[in-house]
Amino acid sequence: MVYTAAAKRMEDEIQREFDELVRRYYRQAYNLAYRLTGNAADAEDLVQDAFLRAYRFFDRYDRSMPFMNWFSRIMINLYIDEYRRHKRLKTVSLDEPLQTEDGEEGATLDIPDPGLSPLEIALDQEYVDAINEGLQHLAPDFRTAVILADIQGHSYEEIAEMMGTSIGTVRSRIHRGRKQLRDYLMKRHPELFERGDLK
Amino acid sequence: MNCRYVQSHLSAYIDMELTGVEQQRIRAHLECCMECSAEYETIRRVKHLVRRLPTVTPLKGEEVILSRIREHRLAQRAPRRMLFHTRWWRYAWGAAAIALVIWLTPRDENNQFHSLQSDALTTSITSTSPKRSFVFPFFRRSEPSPLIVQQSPVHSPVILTSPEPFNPLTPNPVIMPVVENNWGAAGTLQPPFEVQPR
Repeated sequence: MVYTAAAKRMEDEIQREFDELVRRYYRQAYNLAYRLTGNAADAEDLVQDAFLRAYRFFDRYDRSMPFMNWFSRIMINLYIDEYRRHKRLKTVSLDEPLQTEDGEEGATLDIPDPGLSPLEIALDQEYVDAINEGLQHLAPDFRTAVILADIQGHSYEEIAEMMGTSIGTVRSRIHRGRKQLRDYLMKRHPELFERGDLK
Repeated sequence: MNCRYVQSHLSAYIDMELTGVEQQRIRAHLECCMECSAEYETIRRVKHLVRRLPTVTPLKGEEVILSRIREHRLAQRAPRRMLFHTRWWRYAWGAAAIALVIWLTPRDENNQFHSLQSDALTTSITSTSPKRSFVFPFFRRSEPSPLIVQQSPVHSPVILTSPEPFNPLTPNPVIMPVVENNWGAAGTLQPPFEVQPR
């Protein structure tokens, strides 16, 4: 295959377009990855791998559909594949003292403040952690469906397309996922379900 | 509409993913059924809790991803420059190998129609000539090729070179007929139209 100047120009243009998409959707993609994996390290890996895969198959992207829908599909497939391979993703304890190279203990994992905007402070950190943990207790299919519906705000039809299942399955997964999450939260924080508006 | 049906469709009801009639029927049921109504409240609360999870900000910027993609692109482009590693060259090597095998296949000169038979299969009954001989597939090497028609030279060769190197090529009467024109200058073709001198 002859690598002509026109081909190179075209490839550069595609590259520029893709870079622009990465810049625009990176935060949204990271948020989804974080909610799926439940921790920052795995989320970073997942986002990177998903973008790389998206770049490799970018010629199959249909420009008429939103990029995030197509990309979410890639990320979800990647995540579920990865999950199936390792069965259980490794988790990192935030409080456990780290063993440093010198052998001394006592240093803890340094997690930077995520920097919440004032509008987002509404939910106490304690509850955020509880919900996050609750999500991690769900089966990956349930968790994915719940996250796509509630955090990403996708319709059932879109979710069914992304997860490669029927709408009926999506409906059942979301419902069962929510019920399991409710049971989990009710056990730990029953005050969340008391009458009255959320804090 | 029973409680079991309603409770299994509560999430879809909350997400407005049912048909208009179903939405109305479930709403009507929730108004009169305390148990389903309580269940509905908790599910709705879960949805709101998940939705209100704060957006997480990545620790690293997108530059990590962009540089990884750039690396991937460079790695992908490099082998393309190596001409002999492309697919077509692989096919060419394959074709050359097949041609070589055909060239080296032993042939029976007396049995042209079964020329692809191997030595092991040709018995002495069918052929008495020496068995192994390397011949070009279509004709015997000792004979002139039937494909190339030999012609005895009839015409004397026409030399197109000019004797003096800096003179223009003189018109060759075999290729280009020399015609006398109206002005008397020799060595040019008659123009296809009539030219009237002023």
